[in-house]
Order: sequence, then C-alpha cells, then structure tokens
Amino acid sequence: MSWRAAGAAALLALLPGPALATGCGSEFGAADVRRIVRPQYTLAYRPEPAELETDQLFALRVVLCGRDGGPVPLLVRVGAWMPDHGHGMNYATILTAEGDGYWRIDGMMFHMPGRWELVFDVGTPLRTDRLVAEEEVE
Amino acid sequence: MTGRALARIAAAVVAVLLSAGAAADAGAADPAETARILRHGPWPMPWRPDPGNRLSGDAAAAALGRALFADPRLSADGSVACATCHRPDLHWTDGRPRSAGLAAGDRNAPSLVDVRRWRWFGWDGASDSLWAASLRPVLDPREMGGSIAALAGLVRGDPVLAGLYRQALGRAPLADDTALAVDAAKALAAFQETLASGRSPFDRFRDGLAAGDADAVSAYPADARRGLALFVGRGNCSVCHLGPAFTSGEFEDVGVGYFLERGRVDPGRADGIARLKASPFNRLGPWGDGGGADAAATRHVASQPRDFGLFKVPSLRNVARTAPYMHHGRLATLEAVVRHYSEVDEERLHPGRARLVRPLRLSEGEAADLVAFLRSLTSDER
Repeated sequence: MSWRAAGAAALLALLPGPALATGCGSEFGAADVRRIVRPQYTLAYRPEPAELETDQLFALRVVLCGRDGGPVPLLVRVGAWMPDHGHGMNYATILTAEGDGYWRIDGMMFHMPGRWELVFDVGTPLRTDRLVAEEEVE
Repeated sequence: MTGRALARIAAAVVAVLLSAGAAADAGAADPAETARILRHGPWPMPWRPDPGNRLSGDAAAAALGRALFADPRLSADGSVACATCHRPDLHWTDGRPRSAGLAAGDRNAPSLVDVRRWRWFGWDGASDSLWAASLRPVLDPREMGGSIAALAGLVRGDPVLAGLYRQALGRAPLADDTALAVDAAKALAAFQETLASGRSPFDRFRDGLAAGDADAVSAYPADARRGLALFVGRGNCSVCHLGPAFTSGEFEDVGVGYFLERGRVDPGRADGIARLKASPFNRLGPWGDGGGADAAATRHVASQPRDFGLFKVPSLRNVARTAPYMHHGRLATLEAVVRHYSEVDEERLHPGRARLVRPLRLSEGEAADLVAFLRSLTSDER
C-alpha cells in the first residue's frame, strides 16, 4: 500500500467502526466469514472465491470493526506464511481501502498445498499488531 | 472332510487373502492417500484460449505458426529455427543437456507439450504469455539473433507466409514492424497450443480409483503403484509437482546448484522477474489483447531475495521422453534424478530457504519404484 493510501486510510481510522464486533463481517455470509477477535476490535474476512484452491490467485474482503462501534485500526499489511516450509507467498498483495473499515486485498496465492498462516498487520504504519489466522489448502 | 476338500478350502483361503492383499496394494487403502492421488487428475483438463492472444485457439493462425516454427530464416544467419531446439521427434526438446542456438546456451530446452497451460514460461519465468515467450528466443543474440524488423520483413516479404498471415488475420501483413512481429509471435503461440499430451497409464489408474473400477486399478503395474505411494507420501514430491499437470508452475530450489562455471552463475527466477517487468511484451504492456484484465499474476509477482537460483518446477507428464533433466540438463536419466532426491546434499540448498527438500534415503527398490511411477506418466500417443 502506498503512503498516500495509508494517509487516506488513516482518516478512516478516526471514524467509528461499521458494526459491533459480534456481527462483524456478517454480510460476508455465515458460512464463509472468519473472524479474529481482539479486545478493542474484530477483523473479519472472506476469501474470494470462497473455496480456496492451491496455486490460484484469490482476493480477500476484510472489515475491521471497533468494539461498540468505536474507532478501528488501519490495515497496514496482509501476507501469508507457510510455517512448515518456512516461506511466504511469491506474490505481493495490494490493499485497497473501500471506506468504513472495509478493505479489498488482491494478489493472494497459496502456491503449495498444506497449512498457511494469513498475516494481518493492523494499527499504523509505525506500530502494528499482528493478527494470524490459519487456512488449509489441498 | 477329505484331503481334497481340505485342499480346496485352503486354496480358497489363500485366494481370498491374495485378493485382499492385491486390493490393498493396488487400490490405495488409505483414504488420505487416495485423496492425494485423485488430485492429480482428471486429465486432460479443460483449456480456454489465452485472453491475451486474439489468435489463441485459431486454426489458421496455428498454420502460420507451424510454418514460422520450422523456418530457420527467423534467425540472424538462417541456421536456427524454433524447431532446432524443440524437435518434434524428441518430444519438442533437443535431447541435449544445454541447448545451442547461434551460441552455446546455459539451460536445457524444456518440452513444449502442454505449454499452453503455464502461467510462466522458461526456466526463469521471464515471460508471462506463450506469445511473448515465443518472441524472446527470436530476439536473443545467443539463440536466434533475429530482430523485430527482420521477423516482420520475413512475414511481409515471403509469399507463403504472407498468404498464411492473410488467412489468419483477414488482412495483408501490417506495415508496422512491431505489430506484425507480435502477430507472428501470437501465431507461433497458437501453433504450440496444439501440442497437448494425452492420457497415460497413471490416468487410467487414477480414474479407475475415482470410479471404483477394480479392473482399471489392478491393471496399473505394482511397482508404479508403490512409486506413486512414495510420490504422494514420504517423498513429498506432490508439494511442488501438484495437480493434474504435476507442477505448481512456480519456482523452487531443489539443490541442483546454479553455478555455470567459475565466476558465472545462473540467477534463475531473480533475473526472470527483472526481465519480465522490463519487457514491453508482458501482459501489462500495450501489445497484449487482454487489456490488463489477464495480468493479475504479472501485476502481483514479487521480486524477493530468495528468488536467486530458483527455477521453474517442470511438469512430469511425459517426463520419460524429455531427458536430460533439470534446468542445466546435468542429470541424464530419471534414475539420476531420483538418486539426486534420495541423496540431495542439504548444504547445497540455500540457507534460510524453504525446508522442502530433504534426502529421501531411498532403497534401490524404492528408487526403481519411483522411476516406474514417473514412466507411467507417459501418454499413449507419440
């Protein structure tokens, strides 16, 4: 993400979050949404397409929701890591702020079958918290 | 009970035991293993034309491409054709460790069979489309040493080629050299798209397994079946050689080394990405027909330090027909390839790299089984 995009997104961080954490990302569909819950906010995401396949580019829809509609942090970086093999992706993601805490992440690819860790760095470009979710592809 | 009756019962028991053993041996008793095997098919896979090449899938364009492919006039001195290094009689390779065009090359000529399926082309993935990959060796001084102007002039000036061009494009050859050379490259791609592999003994086994066809399953040779179990199991081979095409299409370090000679290295993927991004003929450039909508991989591919010395994971379909092996062709036989993975020197793997390759320490029998499996990926047609 460019610094210009980060700056624009920083403005968004001052705005109230889009939803209560408990229902965060409910519009992604109950079957497909994944959530990572933190005390002050929740990150919800859904892959597009929903069915992850090895060696195929995919996107992520992401939303960050503040607790009780409170402020939400920025999404600074998104990547993936294969802990059993010690490598990441061969592709670099592009983050697009869609407003109101929503993001689109393009350029994801799990090029090997197995267990991957999705890594979301949230906060500000200078100080981030790392959120990790596991995904398995065959 | 008579002795004869006892003998009949004993024979029946033995037959049942042998049958059960054979089913367990040939039919993949482990559901997880079965699932891993099934992911290597079905074959052939559906294919759709390349959106970046408006001549993709067009028979008239393929006819022009076929003529260009065999024509040594594409090279600077008229001595090297595409078919010099990609010979039809050698499964579209040249059988040499390293190819030679106008000068000696550093890499093995990969087969062109099933080339229409790849995301990246060449051992370093320096091209993101088959048509751009077809133009690259024409312009490389060490391969064919041609030029955009010479290629355009040839198509424009040769009555046969110009006629084939008219049939394919519905117009006379263009006056603009680059546009005409790109059309020629797209026709070369249309021809190579027709080089597709057929079904193999493995495919019949795999489909039999999927359908519960015991005859198809039992027809698969036992040594190949044991080799397949190694391939999807302890060997971990299907982590990179995955899916119906037996490749991820991505780039890995398997410990074969990247030194060419004293003081000279092959940077592999690191150089490939740099050349891809610098090329005006990549999918993000003005010459493709996809309008950038087909360029997601090119847009997102990341240049990373670990790319140095990585080379493309080749398909294993028809691998028995494409010796010698690896990007530098230094392994002459499939037996040598299996021996490499059995005894791979971990010191030769880059430090800090992915922990993918470990010495398999195969017994002689296991190595032979793995080779038998690889040979079972040979399709029926020549």
